[in-house]
Amino acid sequence: MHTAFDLQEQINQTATDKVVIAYKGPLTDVIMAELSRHIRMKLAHEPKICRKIFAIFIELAQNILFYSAEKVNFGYRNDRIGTLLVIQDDNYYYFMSSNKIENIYTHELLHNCKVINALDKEGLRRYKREQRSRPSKDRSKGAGIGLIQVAMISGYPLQMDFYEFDEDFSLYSLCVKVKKNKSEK
Amino acid sequence: MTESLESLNIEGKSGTFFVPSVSFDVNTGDCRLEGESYLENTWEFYDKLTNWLKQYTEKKQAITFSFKLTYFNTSSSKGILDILFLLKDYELAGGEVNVKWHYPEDDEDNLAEAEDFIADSELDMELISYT
Repeated sequence: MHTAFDLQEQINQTATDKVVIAYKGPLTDVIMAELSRHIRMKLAHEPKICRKIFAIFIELAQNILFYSAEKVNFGYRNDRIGTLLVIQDDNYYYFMSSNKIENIYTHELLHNCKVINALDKEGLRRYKREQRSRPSKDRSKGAGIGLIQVAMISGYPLQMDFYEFDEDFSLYSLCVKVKKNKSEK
Repeated sequence: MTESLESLNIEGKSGTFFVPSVSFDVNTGDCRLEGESYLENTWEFYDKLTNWLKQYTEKKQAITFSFKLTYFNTSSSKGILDILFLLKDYELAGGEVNVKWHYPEDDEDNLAEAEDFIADSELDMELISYT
């Protein structure tokens, strides 16, 4: 499995036809909607894969929108910054998201990732149902089950990485892959 | 309050957000939620639907609820579950409830979601595939 940093490197080094989506910068609702439409347009020939990539995109882009610790002020706006990449090789689509986070959240995220990666498909279904029926935590603007959903859709372990900038902040990145459906090609 | 209840109609939209179309008929109890659900304020949207249903159930009339959602994010799934809990409560209180879940034939993830909704809400849903 690639790490986020491998993927960045790959984009720098390989032909751009491997890149499906690459975005780095302030993420707004409008940009997110446009990128999601772009994904649908590009993957329209593979409807099943398209649904998966689209659903992963919405959950991970929302995480940046809600939680990125890097913000930019523009007029009255206060947008959060992150990176979203979708690249492909012959067999898989790789989806990567990254953003700056406060170090106080790294432990919880790693723990969640470990729990999720230890579960099989049915285990993930049960875990998602359990978490969905719990009252939302204060920090969670969604249902708090986005990562579980992403792992279920992907069918592969989540690859989570942290690069510590200083004692307060790290770069958080998450990679997932989705197997291409040969019959749809 | 119940007497003044009117049908609830929300036009489905796909813009910056994805708003499902809502058609709740106060005369027939025929309620439909269709399209895609990814919303700016998920709780506000689904609260509106559950509040309407709560008021409707005071009329003690039958409800036929039909879901035909091609996409919903995880936040929306919590709102959908709230609707199902409400319908289950109504059924337990003696209300006549009939729920249909339409899913694209080739979308097993959508079907799995429906099965999990049934398990969580303990409400029977008729699962109907379409092409």
